[in-house]
Amino acid sequence: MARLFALFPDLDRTVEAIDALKAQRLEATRIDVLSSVPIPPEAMGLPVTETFNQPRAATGMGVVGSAFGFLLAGVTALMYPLPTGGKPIVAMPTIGVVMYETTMLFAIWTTFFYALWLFKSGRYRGVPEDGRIQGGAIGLLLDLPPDRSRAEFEGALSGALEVRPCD
Amino acid sequence: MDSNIASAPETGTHRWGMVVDLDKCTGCEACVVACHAENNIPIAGEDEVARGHLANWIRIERYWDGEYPDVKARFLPVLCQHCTHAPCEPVCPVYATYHNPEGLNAQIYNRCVGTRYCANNCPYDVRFFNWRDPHWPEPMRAMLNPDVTVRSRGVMEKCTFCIQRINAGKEQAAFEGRPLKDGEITPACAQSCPPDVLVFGDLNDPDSRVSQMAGDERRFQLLGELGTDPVVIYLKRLRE
Amino acid sequence: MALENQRGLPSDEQIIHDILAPMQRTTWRFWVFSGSLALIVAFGVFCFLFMQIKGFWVTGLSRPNMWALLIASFVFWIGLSHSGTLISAILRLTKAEWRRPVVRAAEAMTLFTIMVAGTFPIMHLGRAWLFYWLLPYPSERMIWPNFRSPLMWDFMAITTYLTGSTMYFYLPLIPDLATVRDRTSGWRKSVYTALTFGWRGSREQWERLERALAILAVTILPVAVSVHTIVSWDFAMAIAPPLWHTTVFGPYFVAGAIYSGLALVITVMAALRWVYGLDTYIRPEHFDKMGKILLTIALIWFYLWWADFLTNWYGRLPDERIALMQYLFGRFWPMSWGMLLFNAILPPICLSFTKFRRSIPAMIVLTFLINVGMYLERVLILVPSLTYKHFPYVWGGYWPSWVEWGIFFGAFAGFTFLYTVFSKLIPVVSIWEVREERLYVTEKRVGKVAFPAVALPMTGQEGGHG
Repeated sequence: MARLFALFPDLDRTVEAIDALKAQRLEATRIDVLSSVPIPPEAMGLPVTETFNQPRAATGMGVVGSAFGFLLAGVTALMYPLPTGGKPIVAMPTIGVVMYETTMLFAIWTTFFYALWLFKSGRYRGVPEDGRIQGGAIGLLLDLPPDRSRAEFEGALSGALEVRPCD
Repeated sequence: MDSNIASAPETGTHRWGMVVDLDKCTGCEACVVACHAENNIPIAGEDEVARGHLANWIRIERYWDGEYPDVKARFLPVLCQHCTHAPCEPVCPVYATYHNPEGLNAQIYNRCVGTRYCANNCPYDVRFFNWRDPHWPEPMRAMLNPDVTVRSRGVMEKCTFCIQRINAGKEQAAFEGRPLKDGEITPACAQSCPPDVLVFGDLNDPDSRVSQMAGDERRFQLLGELGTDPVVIYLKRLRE
Repeated sequence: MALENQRGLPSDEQIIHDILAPMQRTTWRFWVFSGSLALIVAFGVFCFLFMQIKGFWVTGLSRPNMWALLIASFVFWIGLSHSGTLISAILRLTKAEWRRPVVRAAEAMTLFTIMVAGTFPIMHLGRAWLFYWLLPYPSERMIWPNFRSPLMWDFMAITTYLTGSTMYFYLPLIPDLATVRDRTSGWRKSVYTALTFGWRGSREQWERLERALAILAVTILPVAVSVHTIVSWDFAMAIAPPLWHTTVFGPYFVAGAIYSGLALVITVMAALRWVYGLDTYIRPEHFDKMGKILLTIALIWFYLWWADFLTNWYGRLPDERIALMQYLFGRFWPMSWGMLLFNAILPPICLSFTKFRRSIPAMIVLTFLINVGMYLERVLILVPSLTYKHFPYVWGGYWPSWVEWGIFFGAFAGFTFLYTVFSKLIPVVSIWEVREERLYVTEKRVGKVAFPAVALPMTGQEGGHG
């Protein structure tokens, strides 16, 4: 899979290049933008990417967390029942407090680790970190279709500071 | 305030309780000394006691009543009430205190990590913290009771109704194959009290002295309005 | 959303240079300062070890004052930890643009204060070396902790909040770590590279980051509320000490936490601005806005304090009345009236004036006094109630010993030390968020005047920008 990396000095030239690439019938899904600040996709003429299931993962694991909280506070109390102060062995109000915390704990941990995992999801191996991006330049990472050559797109990328292939 | 002390816990055949007859207490504090001796309570020393680092598992509170020359002293022995709904028990994070099947509020020294929440939540302030490792000067070490743990620093302790005597009594009765007799088990405080203020026994046994005295019309519970339902029943003083 | 200095808003390069400068240049002042702090922390650690080895008789604790300065410190530091969450999460969710330069410092404050707070439940244990018995794990002792105890709820809440705020701090830090990564070399570069988890700034990564931040902001807020509520329940669940068993403690403590935390944010922002010359980024307008929120929360706090006081005073219950009268007019009157002066009288008066709010030295003094007052408030919850329990025969008294003072100061030194070190390793202002604003800043001509304005992108994503 051939990939091209092009670096542009500012947003306007990047948008021009994206328009030119789309005119060359490169699908928008094959264009990735690397920037140091988040830029809304519509500002660049790119479609909003599909919904990621992060909220669903967080909610789902939150439910798991609730169950875990019940096990922790309720079932462990049953395993070695010790009466205290006239309270029931399985005291639901206190279990409720623990369940609340474990729900949030699981939801937060899932969100965080899932996000980190998503960041590292393999696409960027071989793309060098370019300090100029963090300095304000904007990079375009093009995933070229196998049946088309790099030369077809070089015209569109004429505004770039640098164009180089990467694996 | 009447409490339902006749309702015994479901498990265990005994329900230990105590009656304190305030009419008879002279404030001699023999019970305090006996408790210290029986339960290996550390010696704090005068300075430490002044700072509040003492451990009197039973204490005699003295209150002055009236104006000179008609001043009278009132004595109130306060010990662990072994509350049925003990507020100290649910707040211990490590289960170092719990309600045992015979109605005692049990303290497990080995489990205690010393959060001291139980002491804060005790309305009677009968729980004590070991502020330092105990030290007895040499000849006094000989008097330590081998049946009772010596507690290290950092651990909570309190009156146990002399559980070592309860266990010894039960074992002896089981060994001899007979039921326990009323009066066979006496904690150190009750044993040493000259006017017999403290009466200990099995509340589940309707014929025991404790059960009979606990039904007296003079009866009340300390801080009964808090709902802790102690098994220590006090009898109001009548004499002047 | 108006920006001062909009015309003078620095360029991207200037922003990066200014914010990374503290990390690139370290003077002797840093070493002297952090060295002194480390010494104080070491003394605090020594006090803790001394207390554990010798026994608690070296403290000022006694029967009935079984909890005092250490627990007051614990509650105080947990309260301070609400600082970052409020600024960062609430302002992110409400898309308040002015938060951008202050979120990183605020989130760091949450993280370090909760770390300091988390040491106290361990330090105050009589047998602290056995603290792990509070951890719920299948042990050879065949026993689990007692989850009916509010102290176990504390453990769950603090664990959740500590890990949650670490994550909430770390995630938006990643793009900035990438900036740092690209400007370092050698072993430092490898460390920062590892910490960025393959961050390239791609569109997808940004969307995932922002979505994750939105979820975290929404979840960390209820956790923050629950943490301080649960800490308040350490007191409210107890029936023996007077004035504790009250339902208002939950909201009251949360209000107090937000109050003292926000005051600390203002203090620390002023310190950072002064020490690192961040005048362009942390401006009087930020103090103005934070001052207004502080005013609001001061009034809310006082309302809850008053509700608690009035109920106790009106009821005249004998056990409560003694403690209450001592609290206000007895042996504790200097502390209680000092607290009311610093927390209820001065702030509403001073913060009502724009000139006051925009004066940074004035705000530093006021927020410091607020936190002094809040610490007194924590002590006043503990000491009078425990001193005057039910039996007059055991009424006590408390004064801290040198051991407790050592730990008290050690905690402040520890927080400051962590913060100072953090400022050398990580950018204290969120570079990408400040730069993101520049994308949308513009000038809008209305009649004869040109106002600086920030365009808010209306995206279809949930959470979105902001």
